[in-house]
Amino acid sequence: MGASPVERWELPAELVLAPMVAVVWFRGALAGWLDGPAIGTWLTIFVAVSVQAMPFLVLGVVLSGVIAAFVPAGALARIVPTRPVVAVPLAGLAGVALPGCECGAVPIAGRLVGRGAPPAAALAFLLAAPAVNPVVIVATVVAFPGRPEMAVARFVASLSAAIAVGLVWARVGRDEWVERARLHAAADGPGWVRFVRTASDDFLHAGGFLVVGAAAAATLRVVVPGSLLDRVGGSGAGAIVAMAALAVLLAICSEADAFVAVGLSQFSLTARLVFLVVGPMVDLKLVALQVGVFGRAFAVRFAPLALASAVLSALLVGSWLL
Amino acid sequence: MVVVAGLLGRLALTDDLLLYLRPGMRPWLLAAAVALAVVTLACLVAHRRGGHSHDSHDHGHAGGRLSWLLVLPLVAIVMVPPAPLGSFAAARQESRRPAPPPAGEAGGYPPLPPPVDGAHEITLGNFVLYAHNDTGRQLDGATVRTTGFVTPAAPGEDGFRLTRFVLACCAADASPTSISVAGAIPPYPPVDTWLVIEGQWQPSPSGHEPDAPVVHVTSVREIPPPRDPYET
Repeated sequence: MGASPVERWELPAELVLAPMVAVVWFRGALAGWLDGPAIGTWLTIFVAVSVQAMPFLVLGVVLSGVIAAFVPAGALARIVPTRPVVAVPLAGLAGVALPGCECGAVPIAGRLVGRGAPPAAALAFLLAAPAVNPVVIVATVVAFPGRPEMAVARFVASLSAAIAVGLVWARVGRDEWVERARLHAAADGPGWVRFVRTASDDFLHAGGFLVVGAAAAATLRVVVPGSLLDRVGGSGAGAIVAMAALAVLLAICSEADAFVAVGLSQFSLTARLVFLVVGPMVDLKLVALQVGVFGRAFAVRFAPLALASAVLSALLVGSWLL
Repeated sequence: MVVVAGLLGRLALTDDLLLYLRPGMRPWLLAAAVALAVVTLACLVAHRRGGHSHDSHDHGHAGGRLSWLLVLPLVAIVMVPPAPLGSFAAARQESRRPAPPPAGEAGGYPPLPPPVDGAHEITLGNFVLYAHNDTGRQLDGATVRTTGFVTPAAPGEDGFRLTRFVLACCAADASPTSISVAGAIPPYPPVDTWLVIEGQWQPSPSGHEPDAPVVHVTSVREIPPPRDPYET
């Protein structure tokens, strides 16, 4: 921990954050030219995003602690099939077993890589888990009553997008892009000590980045007027771009996004499927978490790849199922 | 971590939670607070027993990293009294139509609750749903009572609007739903005032209900902001 390449990556995130911190800190002085309701709204959304992600992040770091403490080094490399064509889809399907939303999956995937799992498989798991687990699928069924095909389409599109990213990564991905997760070594000592230290390390580490993501999401929510959406047509390319952008900017939990999607009724079902597939894979708080766990070199390559794959997959599945 | 556990625990045990999250999140938040507290405690014990190989480890601010940011939500709550989303946030979002729940067997919605003190108690979100979608047209001629906060009227509307946020999970996914209040006597209450109104639905003469259905009010009563500001 604390290796020199890691420190170098910290700077930009802090530069981005400094103005936001200043806003919170000097609220009294700023109140004159920043009206009260804007700040109040910012704070409410900021706290809401941070707090609602916490239970899932805690679940994630507890599991990552278990991985670091009780999975012997090298065991993962032996269990996971060597051929990516087999390993990546299996890892994606394994996401079904993680009931939660996207925040928990990031530290888990980080630890999996740290324990020697092939990055491509861990990344397929990272992308698939928040969207294909039973909790999220049931929420989607409930949110779209009478349209179970929406949940089916979401499952299929999310899983295939995750697998596609994993396979691409297996082909072009380089180990130094995930170096940070590898460097992030587990503590030593007896099992329970390793467990609690890994869990608390991962929590403190990922948590800070989560707060950055929450602040960015709250800022955009306050600054960008909602009427922007009204000017975009209900279907066609504009709608697809709008829904993908909204999913990235809103940064809402994958367990709740179906309820938001159902309210965006001016958009076509396929456009809303794009929203549901992109959200759990790429959004502001998620990218912040990935910068924290895997490093910036990773996030700048991974996020666009995941975004493109999610949009394409949603469009294909949407034209087929919806 | 103690700070975060404290924040989560405090939120989980007080009504402040309801400003940010849906009430169903309470047990999860509590569980997370307990888990964090246990892990922190165990870390302290491990530290006492001498884990010197791990001196970069710290419990509030792991040396120069971004972890200290975790105290920001708490600082935010302490410095600024928490407030629910109000008219400002509502104006940022177009009123999205809430999803219609599946209609009942007989092609209509479940019956309105029996009247209390001469009016049917109904949430603002449900009122809008019934006005838009209820094939049984149970709102016709019914006197209803509902709660919300004041937002400005849209162009072409009389009076003012009464709005409530509907939550799926947390305040970040809240979408506003509104009714248009007609028949109130000016001066109108300022925006963000919480009101309980009684009145009757005025179906649109065109047959096409606007996003904010019109209610002709017979009584308007100001109330303090409710304990649970959002509908779920």
